[in-house]
Amino acid sequence: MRYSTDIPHAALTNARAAARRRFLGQCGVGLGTIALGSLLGVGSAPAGEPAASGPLAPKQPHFPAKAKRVIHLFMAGAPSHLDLFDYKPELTKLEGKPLPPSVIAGQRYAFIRPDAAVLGPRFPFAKYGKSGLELSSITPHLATIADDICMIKSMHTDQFNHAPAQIFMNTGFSQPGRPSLGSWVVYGLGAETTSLPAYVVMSTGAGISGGSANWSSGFMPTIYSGCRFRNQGDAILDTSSPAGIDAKLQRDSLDLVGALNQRRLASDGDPEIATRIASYELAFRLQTSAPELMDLSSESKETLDLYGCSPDKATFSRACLLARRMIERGVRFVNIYHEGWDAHSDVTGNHKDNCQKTDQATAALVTDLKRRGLLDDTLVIWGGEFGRTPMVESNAALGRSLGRDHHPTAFSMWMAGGGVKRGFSYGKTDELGFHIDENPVHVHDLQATILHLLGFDHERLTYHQAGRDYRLTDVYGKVVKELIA
Amino acid sequence: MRWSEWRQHSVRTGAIVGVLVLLVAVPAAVRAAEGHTDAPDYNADVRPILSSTCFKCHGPDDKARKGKLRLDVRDLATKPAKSGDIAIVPGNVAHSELIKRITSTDEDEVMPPPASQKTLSPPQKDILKRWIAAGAEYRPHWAFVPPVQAPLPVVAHAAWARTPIDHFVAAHFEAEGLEPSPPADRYTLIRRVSLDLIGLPPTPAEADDFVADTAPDAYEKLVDRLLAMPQYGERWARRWLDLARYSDTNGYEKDRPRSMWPYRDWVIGALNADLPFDRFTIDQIAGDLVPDATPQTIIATGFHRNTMLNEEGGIDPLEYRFYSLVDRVATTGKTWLGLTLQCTQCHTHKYDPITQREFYQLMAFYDNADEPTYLVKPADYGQREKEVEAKIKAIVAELPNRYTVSKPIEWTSPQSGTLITTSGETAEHLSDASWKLAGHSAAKDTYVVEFDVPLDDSDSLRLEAFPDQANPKGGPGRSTGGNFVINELHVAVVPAGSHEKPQAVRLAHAEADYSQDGWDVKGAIDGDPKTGWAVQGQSMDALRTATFTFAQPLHHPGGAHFVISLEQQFGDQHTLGHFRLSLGRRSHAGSDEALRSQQREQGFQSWLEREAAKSVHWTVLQPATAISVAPVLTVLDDHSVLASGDQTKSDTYTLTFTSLLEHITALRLEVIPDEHLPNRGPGRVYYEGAPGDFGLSELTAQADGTPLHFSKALESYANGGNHAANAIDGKTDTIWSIDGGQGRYHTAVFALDQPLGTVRTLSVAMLFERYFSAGLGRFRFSATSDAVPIGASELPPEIVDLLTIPAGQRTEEQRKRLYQEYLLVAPELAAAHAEIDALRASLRAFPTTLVMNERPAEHRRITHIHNRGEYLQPTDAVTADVLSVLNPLPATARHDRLGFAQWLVDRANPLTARVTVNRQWAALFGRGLVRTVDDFGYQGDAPSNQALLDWLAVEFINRGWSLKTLHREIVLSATYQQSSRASPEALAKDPGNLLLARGPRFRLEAELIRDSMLKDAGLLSTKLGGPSVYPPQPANVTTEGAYGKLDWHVSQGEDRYRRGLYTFSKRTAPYAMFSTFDGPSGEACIALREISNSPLQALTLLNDTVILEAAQALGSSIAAAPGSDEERAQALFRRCVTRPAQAAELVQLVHFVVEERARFQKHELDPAILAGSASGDAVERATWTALARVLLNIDEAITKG
Repeated sequence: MRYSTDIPHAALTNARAAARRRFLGQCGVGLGTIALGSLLGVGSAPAGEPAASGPLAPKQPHFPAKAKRVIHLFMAGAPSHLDLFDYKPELTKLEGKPLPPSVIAGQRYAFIRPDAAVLGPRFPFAKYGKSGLELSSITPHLATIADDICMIKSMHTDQFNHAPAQIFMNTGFSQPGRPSLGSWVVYGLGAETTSLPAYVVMSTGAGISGGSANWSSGFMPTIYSGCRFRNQGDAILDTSSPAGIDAKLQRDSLDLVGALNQRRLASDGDPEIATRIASYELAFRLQTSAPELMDLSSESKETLDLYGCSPDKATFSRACLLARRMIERGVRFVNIYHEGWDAHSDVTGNHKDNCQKTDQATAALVTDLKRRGLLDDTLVIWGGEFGRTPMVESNAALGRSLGRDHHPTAFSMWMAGGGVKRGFSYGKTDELGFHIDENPVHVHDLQATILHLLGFDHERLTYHQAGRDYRLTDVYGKVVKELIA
Repeated sequence: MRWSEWRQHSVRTGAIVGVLVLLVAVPAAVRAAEGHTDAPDYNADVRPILSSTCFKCHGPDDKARKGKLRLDVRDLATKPAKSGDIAIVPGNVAHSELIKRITSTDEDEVMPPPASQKTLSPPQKDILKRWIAAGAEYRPHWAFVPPVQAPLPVVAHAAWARTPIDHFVAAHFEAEGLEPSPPADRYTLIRRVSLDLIGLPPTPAEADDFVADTAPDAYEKLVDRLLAMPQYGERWARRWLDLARYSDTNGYEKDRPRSMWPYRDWVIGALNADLPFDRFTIDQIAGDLVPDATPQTIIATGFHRNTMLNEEGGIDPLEYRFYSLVDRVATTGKTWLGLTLQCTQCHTHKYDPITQREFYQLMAFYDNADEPTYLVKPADYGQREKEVEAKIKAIVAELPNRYTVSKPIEWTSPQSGTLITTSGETAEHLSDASWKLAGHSAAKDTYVVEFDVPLDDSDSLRLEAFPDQANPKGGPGRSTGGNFVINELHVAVVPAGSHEKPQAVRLAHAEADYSQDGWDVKGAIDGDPKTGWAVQGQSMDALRTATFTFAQPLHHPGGAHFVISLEQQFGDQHTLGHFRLSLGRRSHAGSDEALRSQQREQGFQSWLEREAAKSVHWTVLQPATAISVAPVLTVLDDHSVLASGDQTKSDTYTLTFTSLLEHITALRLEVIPDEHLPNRGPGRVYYEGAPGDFGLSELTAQADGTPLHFSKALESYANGGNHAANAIDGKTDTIWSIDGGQGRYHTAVFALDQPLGTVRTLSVAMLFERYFSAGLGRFRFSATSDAVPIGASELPPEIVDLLTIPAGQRTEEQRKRLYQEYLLVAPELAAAHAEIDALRASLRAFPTTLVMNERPAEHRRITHIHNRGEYLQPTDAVTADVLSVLNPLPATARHDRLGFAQWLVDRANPLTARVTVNRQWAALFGRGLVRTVDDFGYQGDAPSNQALLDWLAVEFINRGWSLKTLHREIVLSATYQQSSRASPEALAKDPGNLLLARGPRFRLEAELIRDSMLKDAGLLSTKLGGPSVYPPQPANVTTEGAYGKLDWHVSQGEDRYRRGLYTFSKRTAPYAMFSTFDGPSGEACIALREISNSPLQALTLLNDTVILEAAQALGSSIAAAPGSDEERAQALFRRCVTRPAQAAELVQLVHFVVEERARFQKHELDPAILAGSASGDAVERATWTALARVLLNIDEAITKG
């Protein structure tokens, strides 16, 4: 192979330096308006600096916010309020008997007939903390943070099947196509960091019924979509350079891409080119910051033990610890999906198992955030898409027994931190845990409340699309002021 | 059409409408330039204010209306209210209550009220005042008035203009004092127009040819060549599929795959054939109803079948059908009308004059369709069917001769031989040629028996295990239970006397007269030492025999020496105690024919006896009535019932029969396959469960009102434990199901506990109740007064009838018929049956696609308004009708989907043509002339150049709704051919390029980025159409966290490199690269994609497998090319971005090459890894791969400039 000697090496070096000077100097067109103020000092910019402008630039909410960040622990499949939080001794008395028609009239169920027999609570309950929060015996770790919890026992939703109900909880609408809560939050507040995605989604259980519609930006630009962190391979797809490319070749390649783009920017004047240049630098940062985030070797054994986390296993515990690390690094909204609560059969075994997998880490997350001073402005949300029936689900043909069906008319969720009351319980169901007796909180009300905690009037956080202003709460929702500290 | 013709044409059509153009909205500057007075224009200036500020409470929605005041209709706005106040007094600002209110400082008086959080600015108030002062003229909304062609504006840049488009554009930018940009250079132009028309960049050679072609019509020729390419259809189909919300899965939780690609291919074909857009529309909305319907027009109705299907256990299927209908109306609004009809699902539109009632009137057009799966039979299906039937006929004719003869086997047991054991134990050879081992058995052992046989041939080996009192329990084996295990049995053979190594004999079959549960004798020849043959059972003291058939008969003239090994790996002394080995050969005695004839006749006779015992005389019952709540039950000529239409989770079919025989003892239910059913039925399960199955929960009957009791139920086939008996057990959660037997005929017999007397009316009710819909699709009832049969038959009913005739009384004809039937079921002809089945299957191996089919007039669905849009709150019934604000449905029009489709593309429809041309404009310029491509209503943006939009819309209709002509017209304009370079001044003056004084520049769509790179690399397949494919992506994209997991098996061969629109589209987990670049999920209709710019896109282009493979292919190709580094860098650059690199750029490229090559040479980096698997110098390939990767990442490579 004959190598070219037509261009002297020194000339090449000079040309490159000149190009780089131009690249660094010609920021008159467009670069001033792009999403990376520090682009010009590649390599020396402080990591994690927020974007100066653009769709992810930090924005002020409508009024001073109590919460700046959110971690939503989505208990997909729908946990049973009756076996975890909402103790109903009356059910034990009625066990084996059908409920009267006056209670069950008009209900639609997924699998059972409404006249199925009653099933009593599966676990003993006790009161915990100064607040006397009533919990079942299978969440011993949650019991230790009872006084940090703001429990809502009067949630209700419109949907009685998983996919629509999950999408409804996330987007305020039962079918795919609208932006998720996380998208609204990032749209409204922008990003605190440019080194990591603003909105991250993790999943540790079985498959998620609602799929990617749960974290989609819907009709908003895709930049507001949740970024799926994966359990195998790169956490963010394509963060690793291909085999055979080392850091220097990657850097050289990016420099050449940047230099060629810079020439084009100078000649064509399209500000999009400037954004493209910035996005490549951000990508380069992500190649470092994402692995750094995922590497738990800097965490103490005490912390790992607190969460019950083994660093190499993609468990709910690891996801909770990662969520804390993300929050520390400026991620705005974290979704952790744990799907597996759909106890159509053996609600006892199912819930024991799920608590085994989630209880310790959930409590550890709140504890850890608290001791690091992050809980005050980080809102933690725990809950599923609906509740479960006070009636038993049994079906020999389907091999089901001692389960519970889907129940949209009443269920429990809790929040912690981020400006909600501590050691507080709100709302009340009837003595069967079937209907709500006091202070109903509809999904849209919860969404309005969460946005309020983040500093938004849910009626004013809108996005204009297809002829009208859309909002997370559709045309409904009222802030539940009683929940706010 | 040449320029002069265009001009004439325009003048001709424009002359009659010159006045009307004044009515439409144009920017103030243009209006001023055209010499208009200062009175505010209602459409351009006034309505936007009223619409966004006032109409929500004082507009079309009577439910939201406040103070009974309506401001969107002049007659009502100028009428005195109860109080006597008049909102608008034309010409009198002072007396107009509206002005008083908007200028009031009283919080209770002021409008808009503070609570609305809306305010009017002083200029807005001023506009309203001046408008009222000038007479408060209302004008119809521009988009609701049919477009007309204005005369071409006289412009200063007449010489610059190439087509009428340019005159309309020049009029605008001249008014703003802008100059057009110079023409794009020829490389840029060919790249731009290629990417636009076919979605692919040109090759460097194509670009050079174009650049070198100095003929005046060179560009026109290029355009015509591109328009004629099949890739045109692929490129434009993808845009249409965004609107159609096309996907290869059903969506929601299960998100199971569906076959829909024939619809996708129809779109490609229609666009390539330039099917006029009006016909393109009609076929997709009503292709089943057009008078000249063909399979192609029926496939086209898939447009509205692209709605999602929720298969989640427990959903209400009719609820999700309702959501599909809502989506169809909204998608129609978006796609054809540019109206936000979805707003009217829940209430009358807040801004546009569309009522909630009208939403449901539109829904009524779509409501009356059923939603079947269509079998896409090939054009030559009839011919193929004949050929297949002829082949089957030939096989049937040959059946008697193909009947398998089973000749008796002659066994030879060698008297001499040796037995060696691994354990060293010895055996005794008894006089009956058996071996006996009675010492202490090893835990595990292998016996090797060798002997000679004097046979010339052999084809099987027999192992007899003798019970023996010497063994525990008197069994054949020596475990404590008298059992044995043979984990593996091997046979080897050499000719007798030979010293060669014995050759292994392959064993094809193993059969035993008894095998212990889980220890089938087949396990002894399966190569798996964990399985094997064992015989534990109730009695151990029985002879157990196993026969092993050789795969090929052995020929060993002069005798053979056999070596047999019996391995016992199980342990615990499970060794054989007493056994004999024999070699077998099929008897040679007698002719095959005689034997065959004899065995066939015997087989026939015993079949006749067996089946006759099960057969009684059945009388088919003709239903007098057949009803159910949701499904439509149609009684066919053969008295069977076909169910169609809607289903619920709990359907009851009730049938009554009046012409009845006496003394009925049992009922027979035939469940019958049918082409119209999922998986050919006989059931209607189409979601959640197994397609084509059914779940019969309960079958009950009454005779003249008295409930009947069944004593037993028998079925010819059932899935697992789901027997027909479950249908008479009184439990609704147990069922009779035939899963696994779809597409086949089955029967069940329900025996009455006592015979009926004389009955006038028999009614039968069948309940189908699962957590998903599970009704029967086709079935028939019969009754018998004979003794209850001992089984249910799968034989055709006419055969069952023949079987009831006593053997002596059957005619020869009847006997023959039975004989033919026997040949079709005899196990001895299984091979021939398999051939027939395969032939039938090959005939049916056509793709399916989802379509619409109008319901019969007598089964029209009634469409209701739904309060607040909620499924559970139906109110008034409505009939199908169009929107009153648009052109009326002609008096002669049909009130069905066909009439509706024709109305959409009626010349009088003011929206369809405008919306369509606007979307084409947006595709080419990145932004529509109306920016809100899906909203032409009051809240949408006014057109940036309405005269141009209207000219194009009318021209589109006049020129036969031809999309190719429209695309040609646009790309031939000077406007389109301008350079896209933006000077800072131009950017400052017109950042959004509304005035079009420069060419378009924007990032390519997701699929086109991939397609372009594969084309650059020479990897792109040109295969058109077919099932969707699976190009590389991380496997966990479609499995991890996805409920409806899909294993992403990467396609091999050219399917790895097909165009992006063929990539399998999974709604809940779309192809990762496409999502990253704003590709749609197929969950909603998308009129114009976002164009985002994110770091995740950079990561994809830098590190994704597909891009790397493209870079490697480019790298290998350049490494193998001759020339200097500059030449090769130039060649590579051109393949990625078409134009030649400038000298300075080249310097940078070569510098990169020299530096990286040095690193590869020094092995700082292993070149072989990056270079991939192609042949050639690894350093060179790696070096150029690295550069190719850079060039595929630059902005220009993914941008149309």
